[in-house]
Amino acid sequence: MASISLDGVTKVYPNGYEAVHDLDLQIADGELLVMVGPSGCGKTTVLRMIAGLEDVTSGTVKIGDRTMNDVAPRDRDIAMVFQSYALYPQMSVAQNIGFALRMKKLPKTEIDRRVRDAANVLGITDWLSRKPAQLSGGQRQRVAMGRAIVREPSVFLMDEPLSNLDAKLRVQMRAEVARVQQRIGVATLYVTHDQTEAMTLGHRVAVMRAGQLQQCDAPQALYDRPKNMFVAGFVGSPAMNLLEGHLADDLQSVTLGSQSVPLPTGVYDRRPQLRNYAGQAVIVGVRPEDLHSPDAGRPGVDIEGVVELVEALGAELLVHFSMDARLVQSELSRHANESGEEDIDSEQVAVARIEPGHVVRLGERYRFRVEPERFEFFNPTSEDAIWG
Amino acid sequence: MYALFTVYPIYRQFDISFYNWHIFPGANNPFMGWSNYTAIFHDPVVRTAAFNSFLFIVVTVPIQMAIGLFAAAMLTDRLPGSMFWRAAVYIPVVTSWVVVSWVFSYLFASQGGVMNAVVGFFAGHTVSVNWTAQTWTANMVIWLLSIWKGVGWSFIIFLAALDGIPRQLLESARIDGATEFRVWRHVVLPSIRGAVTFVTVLLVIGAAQVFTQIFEITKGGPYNSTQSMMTYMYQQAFSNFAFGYAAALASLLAVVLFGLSAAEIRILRRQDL
Repeated sequence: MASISLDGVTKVYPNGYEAVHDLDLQIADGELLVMVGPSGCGKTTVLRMIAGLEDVTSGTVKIGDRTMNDVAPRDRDIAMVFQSYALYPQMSVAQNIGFALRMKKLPKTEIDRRVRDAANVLGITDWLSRKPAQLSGGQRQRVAMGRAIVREPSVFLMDEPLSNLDAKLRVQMRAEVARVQQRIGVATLYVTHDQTEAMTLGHRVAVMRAGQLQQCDAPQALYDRPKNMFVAGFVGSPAMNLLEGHLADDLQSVTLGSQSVPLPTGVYDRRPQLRNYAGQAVIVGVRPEDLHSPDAGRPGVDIEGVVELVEALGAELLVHFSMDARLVQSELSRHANESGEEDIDSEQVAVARIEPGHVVRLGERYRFRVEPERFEFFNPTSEDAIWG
Repeated sequence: MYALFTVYPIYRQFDISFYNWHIFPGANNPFMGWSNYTAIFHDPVVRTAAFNSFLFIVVTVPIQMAIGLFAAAMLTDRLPGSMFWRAAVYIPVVTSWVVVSWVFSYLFASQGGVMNAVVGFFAGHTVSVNWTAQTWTANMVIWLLSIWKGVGWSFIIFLAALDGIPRQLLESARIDGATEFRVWRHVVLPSIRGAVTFVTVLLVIGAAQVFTQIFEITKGGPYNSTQSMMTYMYQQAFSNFAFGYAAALASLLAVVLFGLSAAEIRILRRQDL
């Protein structure tokens, strides 16, 4: 049992690419920290440096009190679950789970006992004699977990362990991971690009972007007080709508395109520095779940948009709408657009997540009710949240 | 096509092995029954040739595989300069057997040969060993040439096999506490077992049929002492014109090789490396 501590860790590859820049991060003993970010943000590199699979260019990696920079992976007392599970194909499930114990040269009876214990915890005792090729994705994932927990490591590393599973199984295994981590109670770094996984699993979530730590906080704090536009756009699904706005000279309203939205004084109570932006451009962040149907009887002001797409998800309606205020694309939606993952051009449309049962027609001008106190404000140049 | 170019020649070879067969059209080819085969077991040169072929397999196959695997392991990572070394290891494979056999003959020539110059340099006096005229030194030259020229082939197969091992498997084993030796023992070798089987079987078949280098360097001499099964078969057919006897030798060799390959595949499949 030990904590993980990264102090000024930087990774520069031989070709000059800086994957991680000056990272400070502490993971307490027993804590599950989820590191999240888009592809290429350096999160896996961080994990691999802790595992000893990548050299640290500068800075210090500590497990407990011991500096690990020059310690071989096998001497770090870590267990790791890989995205591909990395099960040894020629070995049975029992042999896979017991491999690390065999490497430690533990007595056979001890190995058998611990393999059975781990298999019991994960409910995989019936498959112990099978080979990995005879298992489904979810079963392999459990075996990989078993292989990691059987070692009783001081640190647990997980590299996108659920990303090869289908959506339903992923939800199921997410709960499993949380349960197992709680049971073994060691410092765990869990890397994923899935923000839902991050928010549901992590005691704390560290958001990475281009090798730099953007924010590390409890999931709710990350959602409530994103430090910058990147975090705001990353955390939450669908992502926060980021609109170019202009704060009135008298601070009474913010203009979004042709619409003027009155701002109550409560807005400034939470963020007095916003007063310094009188007469200036700001980015206004509105979460889709803060936009409601005017028929819902909620307080607030209305903003208007033209409905471009309605997705009825049963428990909610996702209404994509355009307005004449320019939307600032988050890095992620830019990526989604480039890779063609989104059906519609998210540069043009904002999203509202409204209660079911309201009639919303395609092409109509629809008024969305919003409480301006729920707005987030960002500096358009630095992209930092305006707080304090 | 298969029947014409594979089945028929095999059948014909087997058929000829029962006759005192002559190559001239219309010649009288008396039926000999199994006597060509029984003669094989009483021929002392066949014993020498079989022993030499066996020795050639036992010496060259494991060494080629070991060097090929070692070189592949060294050059798996795409480090600067690895492409040069990969090409360097593989180039001998694409050279001509006849040409490199001649080159080796010159290297090991008794007069003016490079090897004598090297040995002489270290010995401190002039040396004129006739390497290819003595049984064991001649065998050594043949083995050396065969290993040098053959290593690249097993190297390239092993390189592809090693490249195909998921990197995460190796990393996982290292994290699980395995030393590099144990990573090889428990992960790498089992992962390339198919390639090991393939290389072993084909090298053994190739080695059992060793011909060109012996034919070019020693012609099977001195006094048949470096004959292999193939060179002796050739000599019987095209020097002694004993085609029936040569065909019997070929048939016997084919049966032995078939049995040997089947046994190898079974053993390597069963073995948990």
